[in-house]
Amino acid sequence: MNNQLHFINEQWQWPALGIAFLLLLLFIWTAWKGSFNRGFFVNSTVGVLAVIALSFLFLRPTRAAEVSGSALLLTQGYTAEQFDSIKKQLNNVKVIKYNTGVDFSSSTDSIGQVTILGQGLRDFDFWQLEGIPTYYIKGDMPKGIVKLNYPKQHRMGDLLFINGVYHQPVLGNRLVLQSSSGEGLDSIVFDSDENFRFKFDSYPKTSGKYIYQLTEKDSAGKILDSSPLPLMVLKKQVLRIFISNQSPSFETKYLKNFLSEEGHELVVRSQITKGRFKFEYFNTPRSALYNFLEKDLKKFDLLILDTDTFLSLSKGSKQSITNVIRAYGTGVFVQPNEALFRTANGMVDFGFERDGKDEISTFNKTKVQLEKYPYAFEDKKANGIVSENYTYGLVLGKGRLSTTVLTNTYQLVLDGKSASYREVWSKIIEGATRPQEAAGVFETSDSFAFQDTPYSFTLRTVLVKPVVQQSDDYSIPLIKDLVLEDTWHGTTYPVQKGWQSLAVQGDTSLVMDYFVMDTIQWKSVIGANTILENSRVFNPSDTLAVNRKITSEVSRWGFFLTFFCAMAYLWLMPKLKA
Amino acid sequence: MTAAKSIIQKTLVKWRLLRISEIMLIALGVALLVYFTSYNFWISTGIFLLVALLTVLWGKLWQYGRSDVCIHLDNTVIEMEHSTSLLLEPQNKLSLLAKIQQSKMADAIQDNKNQIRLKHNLWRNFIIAAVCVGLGVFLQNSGFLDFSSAIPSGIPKKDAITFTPLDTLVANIVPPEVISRSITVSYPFYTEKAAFTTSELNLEVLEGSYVNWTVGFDKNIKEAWLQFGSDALSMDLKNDFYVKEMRAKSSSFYTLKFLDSLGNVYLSNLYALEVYADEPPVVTMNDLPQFSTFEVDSPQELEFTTNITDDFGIVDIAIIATVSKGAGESVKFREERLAFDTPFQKGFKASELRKKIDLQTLKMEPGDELYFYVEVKDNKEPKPNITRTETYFSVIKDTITDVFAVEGTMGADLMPDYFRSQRQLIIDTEKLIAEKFTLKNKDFNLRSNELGFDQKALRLKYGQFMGDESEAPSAPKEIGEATIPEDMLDDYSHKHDGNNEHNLVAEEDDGHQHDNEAAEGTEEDPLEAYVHNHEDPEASTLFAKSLRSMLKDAMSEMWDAELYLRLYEPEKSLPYQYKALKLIQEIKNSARIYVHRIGFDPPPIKEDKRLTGELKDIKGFSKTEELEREEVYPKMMEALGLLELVLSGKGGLSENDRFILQAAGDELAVLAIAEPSAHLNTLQAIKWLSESKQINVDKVNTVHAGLLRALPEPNPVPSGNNRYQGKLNQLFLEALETNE
Repeated sequence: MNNQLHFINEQWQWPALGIAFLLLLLFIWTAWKGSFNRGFFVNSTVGVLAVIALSFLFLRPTRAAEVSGSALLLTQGYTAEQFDSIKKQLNNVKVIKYNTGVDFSSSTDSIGQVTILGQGLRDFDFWQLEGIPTYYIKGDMPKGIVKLNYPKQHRMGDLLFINGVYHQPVLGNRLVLQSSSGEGLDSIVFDSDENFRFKFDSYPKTSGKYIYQLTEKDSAGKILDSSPLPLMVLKKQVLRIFISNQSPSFETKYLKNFLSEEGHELVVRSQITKGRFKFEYFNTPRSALYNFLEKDLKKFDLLILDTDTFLSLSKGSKQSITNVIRAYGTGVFVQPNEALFRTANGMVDFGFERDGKDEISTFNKTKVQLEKYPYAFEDKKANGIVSENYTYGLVLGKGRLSTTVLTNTYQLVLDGKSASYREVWSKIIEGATRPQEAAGVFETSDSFAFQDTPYSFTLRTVLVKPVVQQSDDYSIPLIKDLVLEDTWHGTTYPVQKGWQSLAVQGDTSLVMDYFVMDTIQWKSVIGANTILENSRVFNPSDTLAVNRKITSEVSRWGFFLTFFCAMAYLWLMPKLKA
Repeated sequence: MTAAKSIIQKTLVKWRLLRISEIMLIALGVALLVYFTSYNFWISTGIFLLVALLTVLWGKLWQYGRSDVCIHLDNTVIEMEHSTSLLLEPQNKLSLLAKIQQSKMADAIQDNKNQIRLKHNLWRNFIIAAVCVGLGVFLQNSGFLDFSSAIPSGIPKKDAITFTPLDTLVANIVPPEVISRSITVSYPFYTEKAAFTTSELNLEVLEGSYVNWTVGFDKNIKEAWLQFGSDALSMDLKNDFYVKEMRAKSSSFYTLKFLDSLGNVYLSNLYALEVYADEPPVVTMNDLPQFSTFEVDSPQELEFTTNITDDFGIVDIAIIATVSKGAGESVKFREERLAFDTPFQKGFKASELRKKIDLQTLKMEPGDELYFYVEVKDNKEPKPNITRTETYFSVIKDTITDVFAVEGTMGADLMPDYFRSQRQLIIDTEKLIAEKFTLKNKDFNLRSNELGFDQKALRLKYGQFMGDESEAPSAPKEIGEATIPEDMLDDYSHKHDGNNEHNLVAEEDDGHQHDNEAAEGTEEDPLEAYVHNHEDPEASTLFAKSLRSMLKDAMSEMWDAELYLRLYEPEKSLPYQYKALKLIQEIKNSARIYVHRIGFDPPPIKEDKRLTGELKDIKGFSKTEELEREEVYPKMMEALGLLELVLSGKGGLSENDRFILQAAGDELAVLAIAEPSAHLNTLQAIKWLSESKQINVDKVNTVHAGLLRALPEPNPVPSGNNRYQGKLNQLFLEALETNE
């Protein structure tokens, strides 16, 4: 491409050529003196030269030239030692200082290679080094929290975990998780001085938008640093559950009580005798369900069947259940008994292996010993999902078929450990149940949103032409993904601090709330992420091999002089001859 | 000459300045003393001027002139030769000598002007002033004279009601102040306690007391309220005071709120109205064991003292004694109210009472038991508090009681006495055999016959259990001498009180005519009381059958035993008696087993339906229940979310938000009553936020943190989630399954 002739006014190429042709004809005509003599050829040639020079003067040709200059891009966190040693190695190096979001691309025009020192460029500034061979020399990891992992959206009633890594903490200092009003919720004392891993847990007490704080205090309790931790706590969603048992059991009785008291819609079917059932409806109107029909079952988010029911399903019922799992994503949970582990069923093979252990210890907040069947899940299947260490599910189409190895969990309630019981069954139910199908989802790879800093997001939706609006009603332009047709990318530039939202026009359920904070917050996390990102993007083996060429305009003085001389010749020569 | 006059003039000025300084020091000292004690600038200024004026008048300073300066100079400077006054005289009026002297003095005064010394008391007066100031500071800090201008009514400054204006937009206004307040607490009438008046706003009052708040303001205000939770009780204006009376029923918190003439609303801090209940009387029994036993031949007296205390007075004391006579089914109870020996006065608050109970006076006999407790009522109205002590037991030992228990572990001995008489018969029979050789033949036969009769009576009694029709047992008339009681079963059964019917088997009249049905033992089956039949055919068929057969066997043994007794051969009768006894024992055991099985009533099973596989009458069952989970503190949770938004910088609080805060405050008040130290600050801040139109970040922080502390940790709850099943996910899952 660089070998081809290019013009700055390329769009005028054809009109210019036309005019040049006419001018050429004019010159030839004026040169014609009735014979093809020497004067005609000389004058025509000079005329051609004049026309070409004039055309180039107007079209402004360009040429590609290899550039060899090098530059040092100094970013946040570079060290003076690094700078001095690099400068010594590279002669006549140009030093550019990087400020987040500021355009420095004009400084790199004649630069053939850039070396970045320090933490590097923020991802939204990468475009400025596009096409320039770049070498990245990693800066020191910033002091402070360098890794942070927590869900930005959390469901009420679940335990919230916040974990991360603190780089080079001061021994004896404390990291405290606080509410927005400064109430301490959890804390940890630094006891290792390199990379200190911390983990906090807390139960948010209400739904809504929270701003937790991660505060570092010294041993005297003086606040050294505090960073906001925005969190959306969502209300719990009511589930529609169908329980079918062939015989009453304590397990079902306690499970039924637990779920119904939490407000879930529950239909419990217990068989009294052949063809006769006892139906209990909790928080839902009566609607007897004698046969497992697809149209009835698809209304439920979860079907809980005891092993006897599960093993004695008719062919039609099996088909219906399989269909609702695959097509509608309904979850099926099988309450186990010994028969489930021993008997093969036509629907699913969970893959158990006997481990001979009768007890299991949970990894939950309340650590308890639970009674279990002496079996364990093989967990060799690609579509198998182990949730906790006591429940296992197999993905079938959109849904999931799961079971547990636990038995007699109601004993926990009898022993007064109802919190543990609730925790165990909450995990099981949530792992097994069908999630509500959403029309789309907002995703973002940015850890936090900062004021006057680009905030990129991805929208995945079934909508054909989604329009995303900010909380101030401005629409944000979206770019469709090249490969995935349901994926759209967008970037917003938050101006106001505080809670903001992105919403899809015409669909109130598709909303993303994000908290915009000051750019001075979370510098260490952003710094650490920038280092990782720069290390990944500016890989020297890829970039240094290519020599950079830049395209520049050919000086027009030459064309002007040629044109001037040609015109002078054509004007002077007849006069001199005369 | 002029220079000399000038020196005199300067001396006069200096003197005046000194005097004025002295006066000022004294006046200032007194004025500062007044200021420190009164805190009133104008009063102290007035005092200052007054003192200054008085001192000037007293010292007559205006009379002091140049001639006085001359006299002073004459007296203090020797060189002036008592001629200083000449310097003031005009020269033309002086004689020559005088003129010479004047000229000489003019020089002398200039030469000695440094010797001119004016006496002054500046240091003394400075010390007096300093002492005054020190005294003022001391009085102010010691609180002896602590009546500042802010609270002229005598309310200590620290106890003054702090009002926070709810609308702080109006700056630089002097809010009305409470200049007087009194709270009168009138105890309920029954307590006979005088009402008391206090200025303390945190009150602790007896339940049912009337509390009267009287508040006076220094300026006119439009309205005042007492606010209890979300209820604002308007105060009435009476003689320039705002008054409100209410009856204290339950503990709560309140604030004083008022609207001034400019339309600004002010809110006071939160005060507690703690209501305590009238405590029930406390009764302590001294020198009395829970159980006491007495020998028949020893004095049967019980002596004890009782300490009774109550917070407001006792109106009634009694010893409730119950005497039980007899045992088993024949037990009789008699209840008596006994008074203490020590007389007591109604309304006393503490007393030690003495009582001596002589069991004989209660007509107790050996084996009888006395149960008693002390019951005390206080004077609370309308419903008195009643305290009862534990029950104390006293028994007069019965040396002849033959204790027989069917089963040690059983709570009650339900077996009637006549089941035991077979053993008695055996004992009597063995005694008869042993005495055979010492008795006359006739006596022997008679006793054997009597035993036979007893055996018959016993058999007939068992016959009733079997539902057998029986004639009245007749006396062995052929023997003749024996006196036959009217009811021969008296010996075997116990007459009993009506009170204990539930323990007893219904007796039948001997002459009772059973109809056929009764004879079958279905309606008046005496066993019914023991088998707890409940019309349960299954239980009755299985269980009663074996019992019946055993009873039949026992009765046939009794027949044989009676036969040999009638034939005067008690030796031969004895084995049958033993066999009967053994069978009866087994029946007792069966009864015991049955008792153990009480408690489970199996559902009725129709015999003809069993195992037929017939399902048409079996019906399905369904029930519907709404168990929507209710949050314990919904408003507190809502308020927390609200404040979270406020803290994240999302504007202020709307009218509706304030209403939510108020409701949250009501919820928190319940917790605050139980644990005031933990929640009072939060409650106070909520009150302020819910009433004020302003936002105070400190208060928002306090409330937010307080609510977060107060809310219980949520329980783990399963919940649904949202999911977007994109095309990519679907393809991935399909690929997974295909590969599996």
